[in-house]
Amino acid sequence: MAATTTAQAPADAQRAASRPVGLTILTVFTALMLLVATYMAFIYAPTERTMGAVQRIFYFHVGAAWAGALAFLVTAIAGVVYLITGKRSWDIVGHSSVEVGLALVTITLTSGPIWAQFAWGKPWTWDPKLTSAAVMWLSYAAYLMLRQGLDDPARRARFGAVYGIVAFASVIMTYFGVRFIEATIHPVVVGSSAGTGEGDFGLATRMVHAMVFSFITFTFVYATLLWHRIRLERLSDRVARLKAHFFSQSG
Amino acid sequence: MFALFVQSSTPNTVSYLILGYVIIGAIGLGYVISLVIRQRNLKRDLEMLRRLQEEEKE
Amino acid sequence: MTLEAEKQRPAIHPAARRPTSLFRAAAAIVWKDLRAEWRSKETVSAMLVFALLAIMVFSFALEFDRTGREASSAGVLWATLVFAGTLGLGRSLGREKDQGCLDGLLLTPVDRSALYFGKLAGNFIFMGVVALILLPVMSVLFDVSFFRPLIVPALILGILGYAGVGTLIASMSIYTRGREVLLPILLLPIALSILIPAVRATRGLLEGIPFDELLVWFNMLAATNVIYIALAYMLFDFVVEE
Repeated sequence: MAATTTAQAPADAQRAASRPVGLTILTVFTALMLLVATYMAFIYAPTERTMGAVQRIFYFHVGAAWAGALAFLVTAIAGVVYLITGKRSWDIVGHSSVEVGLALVTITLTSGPIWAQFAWGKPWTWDPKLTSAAVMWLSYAAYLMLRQGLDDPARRARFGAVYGIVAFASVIMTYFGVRFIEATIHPVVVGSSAGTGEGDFGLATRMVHAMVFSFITFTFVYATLLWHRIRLERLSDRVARLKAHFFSQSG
Repeated sequence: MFALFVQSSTPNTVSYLILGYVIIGAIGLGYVISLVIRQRNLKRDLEMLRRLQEEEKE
Repeated sequence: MTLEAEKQRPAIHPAARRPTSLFRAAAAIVWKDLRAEWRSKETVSAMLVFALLAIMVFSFALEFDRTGREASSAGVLWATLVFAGTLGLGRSLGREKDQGCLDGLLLTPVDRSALYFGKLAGNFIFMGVVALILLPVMSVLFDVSFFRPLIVPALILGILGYAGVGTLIASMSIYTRGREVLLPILLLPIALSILIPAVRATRGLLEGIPFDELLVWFNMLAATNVIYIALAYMLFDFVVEE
């Protein structure tokens, strides 16, 4: 037992030290995409007529919101798979995805009010979209607190999976439930025919380009961050294992 | 470049825009830094554990 | 682990495996909780006193004027119910765990979902009792009549959904460090999708809006109930698994 672990340890450490080529490529690529997305948001897209420059916040605001929602969907799916297979790797995916998703939703929730302060004259309203974004943030902050409050790793993983699934259902219901019933004042930024109805901004073609590119970019940002975060968790597992091994030997 | 932002009929909201992107950048950067710091700490722990293990063997 | 336990169990009478045993087992758990509560009156009295205090705080914190009274009293009713409900949920599951009853119940050959439905029913009844007492009290204090026939389905659906998802969340929170603190944090964001339609429906009823216009809220309440209770039914096994 001791012989195998000591033989394994250097190989383990080596694996931890070397970053996979794919991740390096992805990271560099994502950084480049972010640069291009910034260019498109600031210069390529025309200035919106009624709101002026502040409308450019939308590109990253919406991109981050999409990627955040995607992150929580991934957590829900990882939760289901974890409950079926019981594999730690799926628990890692779910946990990591929540953390990255929270960072992304934080971007959405802070950039939105800055725009709203100008457009609506107040930073916040209890509009369905805003409500569900806030609920989303709070639910997943609670997810992290739940994990923090549990010591047994198996239970932490199971409860995380269960809560991740329930939280996703609740976000969906808060959003769709309220959205279909009440008129939202939040502009429909995507999926609207340009220039119809009140609250629509009729995005010009270049604006659509910038928006679509931002969506793709933030998907890559999410994937990159998730990969890094998963590796971090693996590393943490390895350190914990080594620690336990070491203390059991010396103790 | 700024001539593009400021047009006659449109309100000048560049300050809001800059504030927004500064905050977006700060949050993104903050998260990346937190990842880097956590990774560095874990690597240090790993290194220390390995050294302790080698000392133990000798 | 589970397989071992399966083997060690004594032979079960086939009757106990019949589908009706789920209902009977759940009923037995409710009966046990109700009898214990009848003797001690601990949970309901704590919930009730807390609810009355909350109403007092609300009535001083919010300036009630004539026009906004209906709208705000629906909100006060549900906020009070939800907070009192959190107390009850934490208590009903926490007590099982502290006294080792949970482990005992899990060792019995009944389906785990019987435990879930039993606890759900118990919590539903406790919250229902509190609601029944709150209605006349609030009608007097706020000078708003809560006695409208349709308030009954609104209350039933709202409380059922809240207890339904609350029982699942509370059965997780009891295992955490600082569980009393964590339960509301875990439960309230999830329960918001029940709270929103419940408040809207109640407010509409108090304001005398015709039922046709309120139907969407009732539908949403019903849909949320179905989704949450189905989810909790499927997930509860994983929560109590050892």
